[in-house]
Amino acid sequence: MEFNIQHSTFKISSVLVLAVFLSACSSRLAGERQYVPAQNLMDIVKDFQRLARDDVYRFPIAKDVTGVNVMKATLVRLDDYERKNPRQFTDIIQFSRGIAYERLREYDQALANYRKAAEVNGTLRPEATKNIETLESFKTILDQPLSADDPFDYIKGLDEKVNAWNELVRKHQGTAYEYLARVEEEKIDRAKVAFVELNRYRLTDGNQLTILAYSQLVTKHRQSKNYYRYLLDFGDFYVRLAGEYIAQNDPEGLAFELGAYEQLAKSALRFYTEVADVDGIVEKVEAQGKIEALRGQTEKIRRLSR
Amino acid sequence: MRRNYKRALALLCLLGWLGWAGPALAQDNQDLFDRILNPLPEFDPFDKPLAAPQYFPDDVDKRARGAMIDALTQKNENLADGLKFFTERDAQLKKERGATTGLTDQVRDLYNNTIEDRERYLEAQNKALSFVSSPQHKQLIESRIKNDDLNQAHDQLKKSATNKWGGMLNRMLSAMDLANIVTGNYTGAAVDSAVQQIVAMSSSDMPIEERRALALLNEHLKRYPDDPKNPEIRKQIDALEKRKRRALAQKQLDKAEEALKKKNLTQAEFYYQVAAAIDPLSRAAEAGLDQVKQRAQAEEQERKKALAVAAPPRQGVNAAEQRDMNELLYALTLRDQEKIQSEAAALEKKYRGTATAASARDAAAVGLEIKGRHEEAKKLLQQVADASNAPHERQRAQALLQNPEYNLLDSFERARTQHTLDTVKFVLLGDDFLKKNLLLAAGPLVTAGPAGAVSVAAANVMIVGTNLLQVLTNNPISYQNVIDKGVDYIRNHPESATDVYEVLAGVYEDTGMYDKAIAYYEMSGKAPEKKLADLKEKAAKDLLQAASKSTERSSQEYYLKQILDNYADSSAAKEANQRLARMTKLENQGLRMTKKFLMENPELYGAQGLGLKPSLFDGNLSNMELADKGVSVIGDNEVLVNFQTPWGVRTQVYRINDETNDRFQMAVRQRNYDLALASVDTRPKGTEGGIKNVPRTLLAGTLAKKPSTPDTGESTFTFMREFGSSSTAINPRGLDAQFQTEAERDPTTRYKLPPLQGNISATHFDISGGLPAGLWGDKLMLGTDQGSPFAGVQVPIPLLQGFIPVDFMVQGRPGRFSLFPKIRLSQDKGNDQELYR
Repeated sequence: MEFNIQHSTFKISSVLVLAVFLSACSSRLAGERQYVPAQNLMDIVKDFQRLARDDVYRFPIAKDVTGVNVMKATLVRLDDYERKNPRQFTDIIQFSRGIAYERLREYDQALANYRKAAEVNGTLRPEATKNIETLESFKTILDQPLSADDPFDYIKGLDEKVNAWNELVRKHQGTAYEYLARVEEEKIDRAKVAFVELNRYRLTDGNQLTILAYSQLVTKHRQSKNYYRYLLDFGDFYVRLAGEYIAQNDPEGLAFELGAYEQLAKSALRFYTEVADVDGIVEKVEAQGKIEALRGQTEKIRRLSR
Repeated sequence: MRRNYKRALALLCLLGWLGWAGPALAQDNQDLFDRILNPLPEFDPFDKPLAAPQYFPDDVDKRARGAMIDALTQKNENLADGLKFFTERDAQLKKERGATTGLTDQVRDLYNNTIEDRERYLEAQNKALSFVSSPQHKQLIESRIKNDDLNQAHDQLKKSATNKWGGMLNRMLSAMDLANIVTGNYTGAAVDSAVQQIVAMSSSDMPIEERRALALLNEHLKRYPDDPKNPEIRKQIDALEKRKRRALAQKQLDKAEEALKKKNLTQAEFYYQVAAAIDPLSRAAEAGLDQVKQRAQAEEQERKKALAVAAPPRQGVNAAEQRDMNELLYALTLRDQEKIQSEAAALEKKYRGTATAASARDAAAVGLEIKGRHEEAKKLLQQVADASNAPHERQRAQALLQNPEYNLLDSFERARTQHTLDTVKFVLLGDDFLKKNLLLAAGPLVTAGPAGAVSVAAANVMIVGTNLLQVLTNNPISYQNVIDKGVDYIRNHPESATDVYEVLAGVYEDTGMYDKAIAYYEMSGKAPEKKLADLKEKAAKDLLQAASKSTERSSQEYYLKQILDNYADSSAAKEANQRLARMTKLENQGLRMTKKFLMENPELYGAQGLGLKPSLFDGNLSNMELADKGVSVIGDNEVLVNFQTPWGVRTQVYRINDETNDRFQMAVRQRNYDLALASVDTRPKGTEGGIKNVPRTLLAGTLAKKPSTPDTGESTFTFMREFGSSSTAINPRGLDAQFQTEAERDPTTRYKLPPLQGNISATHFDISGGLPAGLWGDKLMLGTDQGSPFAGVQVPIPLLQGFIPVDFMVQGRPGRFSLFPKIRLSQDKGNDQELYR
């Protein structure tokens, strides 16, 4: 019997030692990052092209091995390389810079670099010329002035821009420029919502219009990398409406209708829960926080209105 | 002929009789059918309303009216006169007739409510207690005294102190068997107590009682800014605030440490900053922030180095090699996949075994990446990482493969491995392994030396067993990191993720998120039909359960519709369909009151309520009886009555007039008030009492009925109200609620066992449960420990009750009995516990 106990003690000790070893392994799994700097232009271009996805509409710009936005990191590395190796591979450097700048939506700088790349008579010239042409069409839309006098003209101007971007989306279908044009179109769509929201007091049925605008935004850009951000913004708008309702109708007073407040809060909650339900996105944490905040507010209002 | 005549006559008579009786028989049958189908056509379930009481005011009534007006207009001197009048009149009446007006207590209340000074107010309330005759009124006054912020705060602080010192004493006494005081060896017990004490004292938590006390003290300052006790209270507040800040900051520091362990510098910095914001004097927070900053700076420097271009090796590529590589460089710049592949293949062939070949293979991997063939690209990279003849290329490939943002599949696999490791660790070590072992091992090792290790080992075996059971039934190790990493991979590389879909589906299934499990199994395309059907069945059952648990009609409807929309083929769908159909029936709408509820609250159906006949509740079917479902008030002027008949439950809708409806609503409000008053001294201050589920609009009465506003054309909120609303959530016919008795609402309360607690620890197991009130003891305990099996009962000591809350645990063991003293600790049962967390 004693032997058995001692034997089992030995077994348990072995298991405990194994467990301690495993726990040590587990901490080793998450080791420090290794950074190996590039030695030549080939390294820089490979790192860049490996991570430079065409689809910047659906995906955020990737981070390189150092954790920095790959476009920004490449621009730094290209500068460094150029300083250390003047007049070497200038067309490749300018062309790569052009791509990096255009993905960062710095079209003027992208154009300038493509133009320099096109000056060199080589393999990259035809592609650089094509890109210049495309980016010029981008610039034409971007530079279109918007009315600062009449809100309806302003909206009309935004609509025209959306149509123009839409045409570019169709024209450059399947290329990186399709996604860039989508990003620009999305930006205008978001701006439209922001404009309606900012001016909702001046518009007849301004709140409904804003809700409609948000609904259109989240329906149209369901594939966008910003989709969950929009859902949170939509929820925030309902929370703002709920806040305004409280400000207009004292919850302790007789004019206050808890049902009306709760409908607004519930609408917000629906958007927040939709985001909080999605795994693997940072917005989840924000959504969870907002749900808790809304729960707190609703509880307070319920108590006040009792 | 004669016979024939007789026959014909008999036939005629029969025909004649039939001709007369036939319609009558048919009529009877028709009545019977009518009675079966509609057994109560002529029955009026309502009593005739009582005549309104006549009112002839006498002197007492006039003075009572005057006292109310004085209270409203704050004429305190007149109120004092009024009180004097009623006191004298009651004394006189009692002397003359033995009865009183019964109004003195009320007028005294009106007078006492005018006192603004706290001390005087409480003194007056205490004094009123000695006069008050009605038990309800007594409860109300007691609740006022009890609910005083300062009194409550002191109570809470007292409880906290009792818990602190009582806990300490209990830990010491737990090892003390008074029955064996002569023969006992206390060395082990003393060590046990000391270790437990140290562990308990190392906790930085602030007890909830103290946090409640702090809030109450602040409330007192706000309510009585001129109270003479305030300087002393402010000192108390300062001390408690200091403790609270320390405790809250410590919690943030713990989170920061946890984040640091996971090498998440930004999260750690965030929590350190929160800790510093809570307690600006916290040195730990300051030190932590410095540490994080230093580490972040070091990382930033490393990053900068990596962003810079390093000097090429002295023996770089020669000119010919460079020329060959240029074509590949241009192809890469243009993202020309075909050319990248061909140029890379050519270079690799030409410079086999050199660094250039490794670089070309890496370029081929880039080509595959551009094509979206991520996993194939990784395989090529792995080959580069394994190459020994090109150290620079090898290191770069290794760094890339170890980068969690590039190698998402590896991150996912690591998360899975980590989860398995954490689970194994939990099974083997559990929570707070060291703490538990310290508590368990101290006593045996000190008293028995190395031999004590055997009992420690045995204890660990038991701990492992319990942990394993927990993992198998409900794994406490979160899958969230695995899920996050898996979803991240799928989002970035949907085309190469079929295996991940399946793994994720399994994880979601394990965590009970069946809808997601189904979606991922479907996306993987590998799940058999039966598996999917089983999961759908489970998901539908979960929704059905959620609908049953929900008290809101809109939520129930939502869950049931979800079943019909998503799992129409499941067996739960049939049940959901039936429930939805039931919900739309008239008898399941409106303000529904069960028979039992009405019998518990006769005011609601009696002459001052709906005016239903008492015979409906006498259990006699022959004079019509109400069914268990009771009655529903539908809309403003209709009552649906469920009758119990020999043919089952029959319903009939009756119209009621406005007067009856108003009377009923007033009766509900009055009953609600009475019930709330009955529990006023047991409920926490500010909480809702009265009838459960009573609609707010009913409570608000005419206040809820707003005059209709003219349409201004601004429909701002109309749209929002419609947005996402349920089809039956707002009952178009008026109130929607169900009144039931407590037992009907939760049938389990009838059979509920007293709360049971159990322990399986190192050296013993025990199970204990509260005994019903009225018995001699408070608690019953069964179990076995190092010594022997035991059974015991915890009894309060009558002599010490109200002085020191000490209980004695009397334990019977084979051949002897033991006696353990125990200080009774208080448990926070207040509402809003989360507000003090």
